[in-house]
Amino acid sequence: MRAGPLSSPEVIKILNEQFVNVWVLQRDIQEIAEGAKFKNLNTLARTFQQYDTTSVNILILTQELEVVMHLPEDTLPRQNRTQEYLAFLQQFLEG
Amino acid sequence: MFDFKNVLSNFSGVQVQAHWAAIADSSLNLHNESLQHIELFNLSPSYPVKEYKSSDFEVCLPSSPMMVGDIWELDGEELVAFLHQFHSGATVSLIHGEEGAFACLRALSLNYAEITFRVHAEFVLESLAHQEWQQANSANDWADEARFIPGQFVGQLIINLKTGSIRSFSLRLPSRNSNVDINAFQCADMVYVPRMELIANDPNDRIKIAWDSEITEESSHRMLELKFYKFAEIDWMPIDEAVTRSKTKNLPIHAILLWGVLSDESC
Repeated sequence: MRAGPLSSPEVIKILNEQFVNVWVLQRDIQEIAEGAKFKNLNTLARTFQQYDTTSVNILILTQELEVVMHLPEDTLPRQNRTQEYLAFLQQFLEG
Repeated sequence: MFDFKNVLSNFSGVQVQAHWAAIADSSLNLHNESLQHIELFNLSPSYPVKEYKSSDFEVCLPSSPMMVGDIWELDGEELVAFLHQFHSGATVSLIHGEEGAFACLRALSLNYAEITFRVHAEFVLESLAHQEWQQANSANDWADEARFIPGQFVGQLIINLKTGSIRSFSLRLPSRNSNVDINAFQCADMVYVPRMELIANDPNDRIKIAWDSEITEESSHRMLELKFYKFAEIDWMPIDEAVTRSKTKNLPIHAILLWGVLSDESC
């Protein structure tokens, strides 16, 4: 991921201009939920807990913290990963 | 611009202590899975204390004049000599990931200079049991060596420019809840090692330094991170800030949930 799609200048530009970006360790999510100092943070952590799988999970959430897109990283094809990632982001942006 | 040529003119020795704590937490408990695993991952420094010459630290210095905030590449192979204090299997040739070593002139005064640096390295571990397992599976390309892969090493070197000596030196694994990847017998785990550090201080040099020019430690670490990873150009933020920013900027959240740290080699 970090040497592939996430290092693409095109992906970086879209992510910086059109999203708020966060990465979270699965093992930290419960602690974040329990220690959340405000409701929305607790809501987000609880949402993340639903994606407790062995894979890397990529999510896009609305400002209301509703998951609208989910991409398990292991479903990205071995070829053209950057293009697939761009398509995933564009699909959301184009509604 | 400051020229580091011949600054380490003092010939006195530098005593460096090594600390390497046991694995304190893990995702899968691989390091305790069998007696063979315990044997491999029961690690401690090869040399708890080792004497270096001041000139040994020249590997951290730039070959041309630098300003505060400048970055230069270090010769990772030369830095391995320090890592051998932990273990003879130290190498900067990584099986996966971003190789390299970079340094940054963080602060400068008339009498002192502080250099921060970041090195990616790993340790090839050996045991009779693992060697036999490798030989038994030699026909398979997955029968790799056992490895202990720290996420990164962060270094700090403060030089007394007046005396030409080392005021302090440290090279440490940042302490966070998942900071080392371990591989053995075709399995992997992410573990937490509370302390892995080389450290030296000159007990006679304790005066408070007033820097003439400096950048923050955080800035220097960020600049070093950007030398390793293109993806670090993404404006990542902590989860609590992301929630607030999403609301205030009216932007969606792009979130990656993963098992290993994205910004170092422990994953």
